[in-house]
Amino acid sequence: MGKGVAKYGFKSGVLPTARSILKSPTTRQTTLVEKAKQPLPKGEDGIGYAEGIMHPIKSRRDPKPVKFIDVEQVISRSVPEPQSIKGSANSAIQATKAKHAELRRKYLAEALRNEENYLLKREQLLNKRAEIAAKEREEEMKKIDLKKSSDLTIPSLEHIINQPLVRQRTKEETKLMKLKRNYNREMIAFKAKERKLEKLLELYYEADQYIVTEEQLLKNIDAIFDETRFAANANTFLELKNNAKKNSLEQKIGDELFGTVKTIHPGLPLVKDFLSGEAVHFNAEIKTENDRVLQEKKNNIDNILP
Amino acid sequence: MDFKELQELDLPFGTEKSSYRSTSNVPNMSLVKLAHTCAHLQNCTRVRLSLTSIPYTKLQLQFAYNLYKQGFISSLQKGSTKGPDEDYVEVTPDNISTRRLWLGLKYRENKPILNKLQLISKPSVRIILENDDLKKICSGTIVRKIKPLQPGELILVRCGSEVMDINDAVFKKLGGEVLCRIN
Repeated sequence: MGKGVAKYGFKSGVLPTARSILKSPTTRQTTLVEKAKQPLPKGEDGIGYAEGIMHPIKSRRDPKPVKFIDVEQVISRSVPEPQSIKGSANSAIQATKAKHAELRRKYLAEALRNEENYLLKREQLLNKRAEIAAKEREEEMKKIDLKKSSDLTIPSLEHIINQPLVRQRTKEETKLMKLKRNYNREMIAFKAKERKLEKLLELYYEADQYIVTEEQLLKNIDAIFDETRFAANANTFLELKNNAKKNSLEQKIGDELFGTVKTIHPGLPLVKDFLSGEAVHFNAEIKTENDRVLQEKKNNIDNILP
Repeated sequence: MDFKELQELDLPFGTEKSSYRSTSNVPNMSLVKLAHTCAHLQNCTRVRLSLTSIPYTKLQLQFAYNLYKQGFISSLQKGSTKGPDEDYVEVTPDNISTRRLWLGLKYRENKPILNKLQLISKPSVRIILENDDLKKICSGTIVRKIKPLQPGELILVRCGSEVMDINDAVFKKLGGEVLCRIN
């Protein structure tokens, strides 16, 4: 924005916009009244504050309601007819004063009424203009958009471009996806719990080895500092180390195969089988099978065939 | 007050804000991605690549389609990050992250057809023009520091959700955001 007349596009004599006579809309401006009556839009694009959301200090939670004025009421309030004329106009000055006052009242009332009428007519005119413009636009567009009948049958490049970019998941697919995700989440949680249980079981067996009494402590010290330990087999330290590795590997393989802990204690798989009753069932099955085989052998003791 | 008198007194035609020439209220997405694409294509043509990929979005697709329509690129294909698709692949939320648009770049006498791609409306300074201003640009006048359209040049305009050549926008009497200049 420039200075001086540059502000007004180098046009001198541009007057500022006139202040409106009526400060608020009137009751006769029905479109405005209806607009004010309409409920405010809510949701993402709406206005206002959601429940539980505080509004800033010194601001309104809801917009200020629009006040509509009745022009006749305004007139009767601002320029009421004089209730009593104190004495009749005795002098010429009094008569003129009374006449002037009467004229002022008349002109003000007239101005207010005219302003209202002007606003109403202005609105009508603007609506009419918008209508004409829309019509013109429509006609222009009709001239521009000359559609061919082939547009309806042959897919054009524009048609392909305007298609949606992504095919969204169907309801079934979304449901399946949710199930899958749920399953994965639960599976991970379950595996973590199982690992914890395994560790707990190991700890339980380890606890047997813990030194808690003085006797155990002495015994262990003696075992560690026993000089005859290495004398029995004169292996080198390296061999000892290799052996230890081999042993631990064998132990691990054994544990994995038979579901044990350090080859002697029952591991988690065995415990699980026992808890679920599967082990008992399995043992019972083996027992019956064994019994059956023994019985058969007894019956066929003379038979040489296998 | 008389109706005719009112007409004379009233605002001049066109000062009221009507939806006649304004664009639709589609929210304008960021232009940062488009700026990246422009720079990327410029870089690609400078090292004489024959094929390159850009993100798979609506704006990029419209941009690339306009380039193709005006003959600035030789091909426009859907594809993945690995290359253009040989068979049709449906785009779903599962594979959207790997989807790309593949453009074939053009050269003539070892010189690129796409020389310079530049944003006009930028994220910091959006330039949205009415139809009359677009017309002025086409006819050789500088509007808002936008230099007029030169022969062999392409200026893309976003009118609502559509992206079109500036000449198309002028013909259809639409206004919009002046996206970029390609030459």
